[in-house]
Parts: sequence; structure tokens; C-alpha cells
Amino acid sequence: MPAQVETIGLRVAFGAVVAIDSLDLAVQPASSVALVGRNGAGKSTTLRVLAGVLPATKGEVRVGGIDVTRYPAAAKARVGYCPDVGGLIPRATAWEHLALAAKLRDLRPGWADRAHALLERFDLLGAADRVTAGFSHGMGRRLSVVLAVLHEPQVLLLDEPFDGVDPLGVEATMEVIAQARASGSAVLVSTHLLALAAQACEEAVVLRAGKIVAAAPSSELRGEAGEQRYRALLA
Amino acid sequence: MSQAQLPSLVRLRWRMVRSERVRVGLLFLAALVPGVLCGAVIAGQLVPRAGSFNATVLAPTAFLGFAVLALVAPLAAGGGNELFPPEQLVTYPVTPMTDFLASLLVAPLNLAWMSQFVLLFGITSYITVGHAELGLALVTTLVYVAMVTVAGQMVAWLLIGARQTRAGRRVVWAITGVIGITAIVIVRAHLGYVVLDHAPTTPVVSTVLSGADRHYSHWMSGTVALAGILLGCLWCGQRACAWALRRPGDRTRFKESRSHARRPAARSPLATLVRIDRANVWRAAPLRRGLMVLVVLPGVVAAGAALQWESVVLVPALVAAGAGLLYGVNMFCLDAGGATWLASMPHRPRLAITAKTIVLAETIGGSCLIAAVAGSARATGAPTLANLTAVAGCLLSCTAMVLATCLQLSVDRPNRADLRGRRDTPAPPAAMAVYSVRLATASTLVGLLFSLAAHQNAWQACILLTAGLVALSGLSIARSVRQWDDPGTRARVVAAVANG
Repeated sequence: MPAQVETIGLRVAFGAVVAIDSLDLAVQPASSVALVGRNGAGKSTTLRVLAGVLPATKGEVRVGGIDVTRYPAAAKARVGYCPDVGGLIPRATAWEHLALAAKLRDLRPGWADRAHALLERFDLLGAADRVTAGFSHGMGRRLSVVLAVLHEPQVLLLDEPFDGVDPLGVEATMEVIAQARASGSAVLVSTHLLALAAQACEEAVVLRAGKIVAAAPSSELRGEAGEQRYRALLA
Repeated sequence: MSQAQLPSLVRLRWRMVRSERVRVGLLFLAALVPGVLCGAVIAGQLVPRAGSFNATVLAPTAFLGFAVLALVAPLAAGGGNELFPPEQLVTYPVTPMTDFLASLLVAPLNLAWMSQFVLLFGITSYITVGHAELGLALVTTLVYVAMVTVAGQMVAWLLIGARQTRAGRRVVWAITGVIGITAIVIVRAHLGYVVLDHAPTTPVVSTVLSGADRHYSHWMSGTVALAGILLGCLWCGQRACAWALRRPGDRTRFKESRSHARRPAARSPLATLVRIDRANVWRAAPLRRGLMVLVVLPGVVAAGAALQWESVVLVPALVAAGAGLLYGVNMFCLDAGGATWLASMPHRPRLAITAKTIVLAETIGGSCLIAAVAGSARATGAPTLANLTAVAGCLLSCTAMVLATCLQLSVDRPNRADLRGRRDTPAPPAAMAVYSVRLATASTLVGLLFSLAAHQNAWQACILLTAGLVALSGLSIARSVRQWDDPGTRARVVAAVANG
């Protein structure tokens, strides 16, 4: 089967600063890959390009088999994206975010039941009608994950989904990642938390200065030995 | 410590002005101020003397007007403008004195304050022609301007502190109500002239004139008294600031935990986005307060003054610029961090900019309409066809022009602004000063053109002018929308408003 996420020779530059250089990445259907690396390695930039938020300077980018540059709307329809910071309209309620996502994605009338179930699973039901400016950081992260998975996307892009999230929230996020993978979606998780990355994904790709420096099964990055190997790759 | 803190903060703020054009604009404005003041003084000396007695009689009213402005401007801004939003300085040991001096420093970055300051200098020069010492008179005016500006900031900080509790808010509302009712009684009882004849600024004008006449002892005692009040306000102001900052957090934070009732789904994606943007405006404390002030204040003043129809024409022009400055100059900041998520949604890019344009047009047009209707309610005499055409034309033209400028600025110069605190603005103070000059100058000129056309009874000219200005604005809006179509431009705007 063709890869659900594919970048060939991806380069992203902000003026003289090169954030990503010649990145070749592929994520197969029904699989999950963790993008790990130090701050500024290019993890979030890669996900932004895949989500269609940031145009690539050079190279090919495809999600769900669709060229993101040429057919952005079709590509975005296949993607569920949780941005790294914020990601929420400050004075809209959680439910208004879900209703907006449903309308823009043209979801079937039953979306509200799924939204309700997701809010319950992420312990956000009680806060569904509050504006997100009053949310804690962890609540905001959890809602961003809910918004990313609402439409059961073909490609799930999660940028730092565990950052500042309590153990129950981490557990719920792990569940939705496993479910997405089980239903045939490709999942790409960017995080600097190696242990959670190894737990959530089957494979890990280590980025350094915008380039892939290693790719290995997550099992090889578990435990003390895995930690030491990871540190050596970051240095 | 504040003596060292303030220059550091000012230097940082200056370095944070990334745009070369804004820097040049600010330096140009700063260089312009002494020149304009000199121009006002020279003009005051050269203007024919036919009305000099009237000017002397009316001078206390002009000085009083400046005092009212110095009090109202920081209140309208939720308690004075800020050099930095409080969130950005929360981890630093910034002293209340620094906070107070910073709010004083940015107070003149306000077109209304600056134009009134220039006017006072011009009036001082005009009423002292033929007298010996213009310099002494100008010193008194300068001390007076400084005194009322500091007093305005002091009152603003007191009100910020008072409004932190429910009882305090009730007291502030009660005082506002009493002032409003008193104003209505004075207007209805035709006591305006009596009140103005006894304006508390009469001794100030007397001091100005005594300085010009070389009555040194009178001038000295008056000016020293003003300087004493100035120092007193400085002392009290920084204590009021410290008191206000010690009080429990801003109630806007508590409002953020309130629930909002769900509404039935909107018909279309555009309607859904418009609904979210409207909520984003009305749920933001500084925008809600700004809209109320903008709609109520000019309308009430215009109604109270019982303007001529040619002057009513100017009301929409003055309100339009203010409405644009509320959030329009950086309209994508409404989405803040949510801009990144929204950009990942599968919709036509024009949908987002169209929704925001609709809501901004409602804000500007609605504010202008309410202020114009309030202003015309007590306008003197029956309106002619030219008067009505001029008011409608000015409203449409100014709305379209301000909308076009706001769209252009939003696409060209986006920046992060949370608009959560009561004093938050959509852009840094210096940029806001440049934007206010740009918007107010254009809309006031347009207002004057329509006023002139109404005065000449030329309704056809009003229609032609409206058609031309709306068409030009339409072209500018179309250009901004085409810019927004570019993925690189959108990415730049989203990155700026979401991440700063």
C-alpha cells in the first residue's frame, strides 16, 4: 500500500535559517511513527507542512496520497492536526470549536454523538461550553487532540500531545492513537518525551537540525540503553 | 529602581518595532511635534485679531476640554495604555512607579491628546498677542498639560483598582450615572454657558495672561501651584498604581470560566465563522468596553451639543477611525493560537478573511450608524437632502476606507495580541499611534469634504464622492484578499498571530 504520509527532499527555510533540509519521510497506513529530537530540530515545522499550514520551500509533500501544495483542501480533509502550542480560538467554547470543525469538514449529522463521547473520554464534558481562554494548558492540549480525531482522519498529526497533560489525559491520547492505527490511519506524533513516544508509536525517527539522523523501532529506544542511544544521537 | 527600569523597557519596546516603515513613521511623528507646536504658536500670533476677546473668554473652556480629554482617554482605554501587556512582564520585578511612568509615557501617543495639546498652544499664543512675555504663558500651559495628563492617569489607576471588586464597580457605575444625569440636567436646563463661565480652569487662563503681562508674582504663584498639583498627582498616581496592582486579579479572568449556551448550527461554514468571530469580539473585555465607549460617547456628546447638520456629517468620520483601531488593524489576532488550527481546516482561504471582513464591517458601520443617529437626534433645524446624503455618504465612505486600511494592515503587519486584559490593544503603543494618525487623518479629511458638500447644498457631489471612495476602497480590499490567497502570506500571518 502507498504511504499515507510522504515527504521527498522536503526543505523549509525561513530566510537564511534552514529549519528542514532534504527530509525524506514515509508513514504507512495502520502505523504510527514518533518524531523525536531536541528543541528546534524541525519536528513541529514538519508537521505544520504536512498539515498544510506552512508551505514547503522545496520538495514533495503528500498526505493520503494527495499533493499538499497542489490540492491543499483535499489534503487537509484527510488530516487531523493537533498544533504544538495554543491551537485554540481564545474566546470560542470547546463545543463551538467542534461545531466549526464539523461544518468546515462537512461531517455527517451524527458528529455530535462522537464529539460528546470524545469530550467524555478526555474529561472535558463539564467544560464543553466554556471559552478556551479559561482552560488550563493540559485541558487545551486535550481539546486539541479531540479536535484532531473528531473526523476519524486518514492521517493523524499530533504535535506535543502529551505536553503538560495529566496521566488520565495521556492514557486517553494513547487510546485514540491506538484506535486510529487499528482503523488503518497513519499516525505521526512529534514529542520530546522519549518514553511516551516509544509507548505510543511502533517506530521512532530522530531529527537533528532539520535532518533525519536515525530511524528505528521504538522498542530499541526503550529502557536505559535506548535512552543512552537517543542521547548519543542528539549530541 | 524605576529610573533604571523605564529606559530599559523603552529600549526593548523600540527594538521590538521590527518594521522599518513603522520606525520611520514614529521618528517622523516625533520630529513633527515640535514643528507643529511652533507652527501653532506662530499661527496664533499671525491670525487676525477680530475675535481675540471671544478667544480669551472661551480659553477656559478649551483648557477644560483638554482636562476632560485627559481624564476620559485613559478611562476609554480601560485605565491607560501600556508599554507592555502585564503578562509579558509578570516574571520581572517591575515597580509600580515604572508601571505608572510607562503609562504616562505612552499617554501622548494619542491623536486626540496631541491635537488638543497643539490647539492649547495655539490658543495661548493667540490670546497673548501684544503682551510682552509669550514664553512665560507657554510655560504655564505646558505645566497645565502635564498636570492634567498625570491627574488623568492617576484617576484611571484608581478606577482600575476600584473595579476589581463588585462594590467598587457599583461605586464607579454610580459615579458615572451621577455625572451623566448632571450633564443631561445641565443641557436640558440650558445651563451650559453658566457652568462654562465658572469653569475651574479660569484661574489657569488668568495665570497664562499674567505671565504674558509680566505680572510675575501672580504668574509665579499660579504656575507653582499647578506644578505642586502635578507633583502631588505624580506621588498619588504611583501609589494608586501600586494599590490597583495589589488588588485581586482582573474580573475578565473570571468571565472566562463562564458557560455559554449552545445555539443551533449555523447554515453554512461562512455563517459559522462569522458567528465565532462575532463572539470573539463581544467576549473580549477591551473590545466590548471600546465598542460601548465608541458608540455611546460621541453620540451623547453630539446629541448634547445640538450640532449643526454640517457638523453631524463629521460624526461618522470620527467614529470610523476609532472602530478600526479596536481590533481591525490586526483583525487576525482574534484567532490568536487558534489561527494555526484553523489554517489546517479544509476550507477555501477566502472564507476566513471574508468572515472577518463581514464582522469588521458590522463593527465599523454599526458604530458609525448609531453615533450618527444619536448625533442627528438633536441637530438644529430640518435636514436638507444634501445634509442627509452627506451623512449617509460619509458613513459609507469612511466605513469602506477604514475597512480597506484595516485589511491591508492586518495582512501586511500582523502581530500577536491576546486581547484578554481590559487595557490590551491589537498592536504595540507606537504602532497604534501611527495607525491612529493614518486612519483619523484620512477619515477626518473625508468628513470635511462631505461637510463642505453639504454646506454647498451639493447632494450630487456627495453621491459622486461616495461612489468614488467606495470604489477605491473596494479595489484596495480586493488587493488585500488576493494577497491573502498566497499560501506564504497566510503562513506568515498565522505564525505572527499564533506564536508572536
